[in-house]
Amino acid sequence: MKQEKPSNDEILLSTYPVIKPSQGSYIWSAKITVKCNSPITYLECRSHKAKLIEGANSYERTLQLDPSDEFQNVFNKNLDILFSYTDINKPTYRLAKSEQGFCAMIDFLPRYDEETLDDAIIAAKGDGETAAASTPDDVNILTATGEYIFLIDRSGSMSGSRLTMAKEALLFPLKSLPPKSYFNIYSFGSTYSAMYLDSIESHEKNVNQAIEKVKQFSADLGGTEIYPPIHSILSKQRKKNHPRTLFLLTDGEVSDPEKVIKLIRSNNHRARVFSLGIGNGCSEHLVTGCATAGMGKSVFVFDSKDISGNVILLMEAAFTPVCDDFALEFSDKEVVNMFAPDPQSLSYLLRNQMTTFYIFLNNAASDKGEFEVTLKYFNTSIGGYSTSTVKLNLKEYETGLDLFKLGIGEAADILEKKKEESSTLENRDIWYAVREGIDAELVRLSVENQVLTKKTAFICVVKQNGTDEIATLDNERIVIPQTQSVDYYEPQVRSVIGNGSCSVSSGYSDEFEEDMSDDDNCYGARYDARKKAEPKPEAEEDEDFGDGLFDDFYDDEPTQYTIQQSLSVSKSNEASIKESMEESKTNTQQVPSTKATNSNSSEKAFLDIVQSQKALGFWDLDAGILAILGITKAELLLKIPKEVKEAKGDLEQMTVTLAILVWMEKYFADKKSSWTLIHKKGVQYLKNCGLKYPDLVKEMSFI
Amino acid sequence: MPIDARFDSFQAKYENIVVEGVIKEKRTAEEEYKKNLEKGNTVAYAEVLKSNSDVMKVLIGNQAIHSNFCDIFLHSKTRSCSKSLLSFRVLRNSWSQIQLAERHETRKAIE
Repeated sequence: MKQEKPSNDEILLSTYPVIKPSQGSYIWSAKITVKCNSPITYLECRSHKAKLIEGANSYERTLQLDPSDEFQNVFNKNLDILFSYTDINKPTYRLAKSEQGFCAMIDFLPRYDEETLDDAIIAAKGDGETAAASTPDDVNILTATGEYIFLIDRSGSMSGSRLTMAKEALLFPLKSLPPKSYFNIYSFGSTYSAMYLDSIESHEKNVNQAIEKVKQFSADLGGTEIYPPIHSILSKQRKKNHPRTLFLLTDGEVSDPEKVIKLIRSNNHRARVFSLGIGNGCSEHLVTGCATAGMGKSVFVFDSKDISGNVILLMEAAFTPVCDDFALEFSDKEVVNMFAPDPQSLSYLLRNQMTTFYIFLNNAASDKGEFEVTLKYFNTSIGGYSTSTVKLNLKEYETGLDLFKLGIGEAADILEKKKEESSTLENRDIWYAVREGIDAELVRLSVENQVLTKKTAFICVVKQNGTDEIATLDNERIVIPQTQSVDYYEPQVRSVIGNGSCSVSSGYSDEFEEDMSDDDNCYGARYDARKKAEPKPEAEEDEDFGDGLFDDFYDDEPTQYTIQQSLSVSKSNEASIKESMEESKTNTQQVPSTKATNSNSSEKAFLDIVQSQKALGFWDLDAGILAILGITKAELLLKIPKEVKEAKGDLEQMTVTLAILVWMEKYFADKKSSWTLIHKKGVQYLKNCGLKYPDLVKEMSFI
Repeated sequence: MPIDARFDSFQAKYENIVVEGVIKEKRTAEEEYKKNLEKGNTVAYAEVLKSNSDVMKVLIGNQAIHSNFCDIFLHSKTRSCSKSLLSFRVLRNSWSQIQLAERHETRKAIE
């Protein structure tokens, strides 16, 4: 089809139309104009009501959707257009050039000599699976050629009326065989056997002899194993120009139907498969799956009265002309680097089926200016070979890499598919000038042309963060949860560990990573866990919390445990400042060695401090905080600026808050982005107490 | 995805900067991903699953620390459509479990 630059009010089919919502519903209105290089012979919209508008000449036609049809306003199905034109069976191509050479994408749609446009339309309008196997009137049984193999189930379950039905089902097709064809009959159960070593000609004597043998069949072959006989049939060399058709008659199920279906699918270029399910007990999945994978058709019979008609229906479908035995011929094979797929690996082409080849040429091809490609194939409807030739003009080409990408992707897919699926016969699948190391070559092509295959992957370094930023990661975890209202959880004591995971109910559970969406639960659960852990010795506690993502928060440093302990103590004694002071003193004495050392500026200490800030911005004075700051309560209260002592508010809270704010600035300046808001809250708390933080900082140098 | 879709572009948008991904041999890309992960770099990786061509696996390691999201764009080509676009936004919070796991690994590696 000729592609022209669209005018302002037109869009090419290769771009997606944008449908805008209008007044609560989608208005689906379209006008489709088809322009061709040859006269259009048929144009119809199959999915929507549409009016056909003749163009100025036969090369142009337009379809206008009927706006009066209210159902068309619902954008719920594809727009499906059927059209044909005079030269539809002439191969078409697109050609692109890069530094590496040329890539041509060639479409072939074989023509059947006796096929009329009406036949093609009938076939195209068929539904899904059966479309390709529909039976237009042009089927000529007398001239049709083929190899027909019947595979009949003789397992124990077939005994009685079912086998009678199956035997009857075989008589009709045997008698209906085209005279210039071959046939054979396989029986299967737990084992299988073939009536003839190789398929024999279908002349009358042979057919009658086979019918007599079939009459002797009994259901004596045990279970149902379909895979081995099908594998055997597909492994046999095909008879040239006699497309092979397999008829499967079964009533049972197999243990692994997928394996059978996969075998048929991966070999559907060697045989089409038609299947007949007998009785109620047969596996519908197996019967229809085999037919679909084998590009055939399936039917089910439940009553012996149905059987003859249904089997003949299958036979007629099997006689549909096909194209087979493909070969590509080139005007100069020396310049061909690769083509995919290899025509020898193609499945049968049925009516209206198009096949596409990607052909890669090296730069030497451009010397002659043009290049001819011929597809040669056997046409069963005429019993002879046909050819289609396309001449590539190597002086007119696209410059983008799109075609190269599509072609390389196709070749890579074919190779990958071959590895995944069991193929019974060696196929070349794609042809490449250098057969060795083709996998590596495809990787090279994928990388050079930047198209993804299963052997390659995208890699994208979004940002060079460096280790400095990684060092702040733990602190990042704390930022989000600490903005929650702490008061909400009073009087619980929390140990907030980032925005990570926790278990909801069990303090000692291993399920800390289970629920990360509910931060509230996280707090509660951590609290429970910590509370239970409190009476335990530190060593045991580490075991409980020492796995998973939280390892680094529960290393064997004592500070974390101490602060939890002292917070509890502090809360229980808050009625009396004096008592609290005493308690603090006691606890402070319990803190090992911190009293004599400088302040603790570890990340863990920073985490603990941030966590223990109250919602109103202040901190409670307790032993844990004093330990982190590396100062005793008495010393702190002694050195605190006099403005603090005179200010309205809780002296201890104001004192420790001021000290912590200074401590943050002094030791964690590099993490300012994390604690800015926390710090600000503290400053505002002091301001509410009548204190100006900037004025006090210089007097806090002892921190 | 259409059966003949071929991915040819992968982009990550972070803080209004669009970074283009590169196609490399799978093992090379995997190694590069791991190395960047260990270095602490924000890095993205994408591959089509071998078992199912309809599924693409995308890994994002060390998602940008000071950014709440990262946009990923995937472009593909088919013979009937020159370019189609898939995009998704990786939110930091919704990925926090994965992030934590990967960050944890990173941190361990550094230590």
